Amino acid sequence: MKEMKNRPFALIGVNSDGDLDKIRAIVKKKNLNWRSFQNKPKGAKNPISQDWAVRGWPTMVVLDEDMRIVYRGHNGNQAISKVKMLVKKLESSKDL
Amino acid sequence: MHSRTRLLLGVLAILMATSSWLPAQEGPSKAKSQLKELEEGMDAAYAKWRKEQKEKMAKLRAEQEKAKKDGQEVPPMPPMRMAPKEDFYLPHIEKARKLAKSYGTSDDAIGFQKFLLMMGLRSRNKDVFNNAAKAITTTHIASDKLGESANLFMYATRLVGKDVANGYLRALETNSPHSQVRATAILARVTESLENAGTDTMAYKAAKEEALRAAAMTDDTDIKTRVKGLIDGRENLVTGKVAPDIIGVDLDGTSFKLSDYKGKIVLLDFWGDW
Repeated sequence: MKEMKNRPFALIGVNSDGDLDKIRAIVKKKNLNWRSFQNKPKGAKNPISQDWAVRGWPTMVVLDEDMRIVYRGHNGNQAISKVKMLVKKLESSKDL
Repeated sequence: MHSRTRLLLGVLAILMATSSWLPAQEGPSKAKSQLKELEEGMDAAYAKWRKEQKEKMAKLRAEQEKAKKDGQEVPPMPPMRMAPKEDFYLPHIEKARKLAKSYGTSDDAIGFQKFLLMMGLRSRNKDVFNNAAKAITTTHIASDKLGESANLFMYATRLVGKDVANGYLRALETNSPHSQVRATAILARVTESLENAGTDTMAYKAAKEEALRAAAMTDDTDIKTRVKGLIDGRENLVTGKVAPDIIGVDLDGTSFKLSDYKGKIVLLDFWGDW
């Protein structure tokens, strides 16, 4: 994920464990340096996974610059290659 | 573990955990405490099996490492078993059968029949599953506590075949006097097509219509939410559609909106640790 620094990309984790302290511990232990959520953040009406109809874990969703869904599935490698391609495309379109 | 297997095991675990939650009418009845004992006995035996399995593998691994050090030829590691053999379940099945029998046609027997459904699924024993399924769809058909069984029938397609599993669901749909049970059974029967059939196929359209009918016939919010989620997942949360926003507070306490990231590529990772 280091290579994505300063590039138009964001990784957001949505954790589906119930226990907030446990999640914090894991995030700290694994040194996850990106934004993380509990599935049902404060103030949300429904769990995020419900609004997003997530029924299997892990699930990855890739969004383009207009928040359109470009990938949705369980294959991390596929999701990441999609991200790399899109980031490249977005950067080159900005250079023009 | 394969993600689908993990999902199934997760669902089974949840069903197992919730089956003892049913609110007690007048303190915990005898049947309930017997069921709890049975489930806890099974859980403890399974935990023990897992532990032994892990120890066995650790020992093997240590032996292999030693052999490698000594320059000997190292045979490949055998795969780790994810589930015990069938005979592991037999004593638990026997106990549950006796208890179910002791309650005869009373609703108190249903918990044990559900336990037997689960044992049938886990030990891949058709007879155990079919006997319990028959008792539930005939003797206990008038009970309002059959929703969970409907969900177990849904997972039996691979064990007893789609026709047999659907036959049990049809029996609940046709003969249960409770709309919640009928709705759960309908949804269980059409879930497979709703999840997997192409959205432009007849199979999907028929499944969607039935799911909406199921949602409309009950006040059960769980069923309504599930139907909405299943359809949303196929029609609105798919490639090419604009994603719904997430508004909330992150783990560090900072307010956050997904739409703040508009203009960037976003990877959302739904994960869990289990």
